[in-house]
Amino acid sequence: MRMIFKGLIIIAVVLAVVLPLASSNPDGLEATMEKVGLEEKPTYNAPLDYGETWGQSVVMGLLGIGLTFAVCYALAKLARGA
Amino acid sequence: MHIPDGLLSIPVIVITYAITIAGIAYAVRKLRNLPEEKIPLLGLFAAGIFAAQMVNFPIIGGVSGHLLGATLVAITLGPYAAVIVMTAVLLIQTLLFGDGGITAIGANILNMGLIGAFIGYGIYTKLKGISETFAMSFAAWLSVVLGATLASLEIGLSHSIPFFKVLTLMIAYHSIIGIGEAILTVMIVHAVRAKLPSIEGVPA
Repeated sequence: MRMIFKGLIIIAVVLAVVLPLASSNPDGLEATMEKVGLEEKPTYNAPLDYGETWGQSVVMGLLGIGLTFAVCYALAKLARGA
Repeated sequence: MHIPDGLLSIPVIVITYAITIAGIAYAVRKLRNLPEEKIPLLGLFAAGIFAAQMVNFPIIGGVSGHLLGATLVAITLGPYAAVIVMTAVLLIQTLLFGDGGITAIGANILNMGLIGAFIGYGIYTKLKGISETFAMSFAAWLSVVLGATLASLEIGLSHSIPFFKVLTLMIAYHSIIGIGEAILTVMIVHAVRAKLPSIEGVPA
């Protein structure tokens, strides 16, 4: 469990360090959609976003890291019991 | 490569949901004997893939891409664990952070999760006898290009769009993004194996 905790800390630190380098350009699919005039039609509004500033993004990243860990842990636990 | 809502037709939504549910069910059955102590490891990888996908890297022409990670996780933890990891990542991204549509989650888990977990891993195991690094790079690269091809097909079957143009653009962008996937996969797998030698032997 100590190894897992260490791993999570490493992930969080690396994320905080590289976040300023992240590109905000459209990704491959978004760029393709723009070129052929395809538009999304949102049917669901997600409660969170990735934040605008570095600080906000780090906070959202930490939240996402924690939540993803928890959901995956729960899914794996369920799979084991299934 | 998260497909948003509004791009897929009802039949494509139904088919992609069905394939993804079947894939997850298969993985779940295979994980019945997953050792209890390995469970946190799956969570750790899911957290890592979530974080990695927040960081887009630029490619050419004002376009960016990010790691998918399914092949990476499959190489380290096995394909069935990779399915669970990618499902967790996509559920959080879609339901909480608005990456990709709720109607497209079946397609997105298929394109970004199942393809890398099963096909990427299959290619890796076939080629690793030649060279471990080559096998990882090629499998990771191909998983991105195949995922992009499948996404184009799903969108093309749903809309009357210039399908060939979509397919060409998607494959062109993702064959470059795939190089990033290959580099990150090799680096991360090597780092994980160096730091956690005990990780070997997780049942596939």
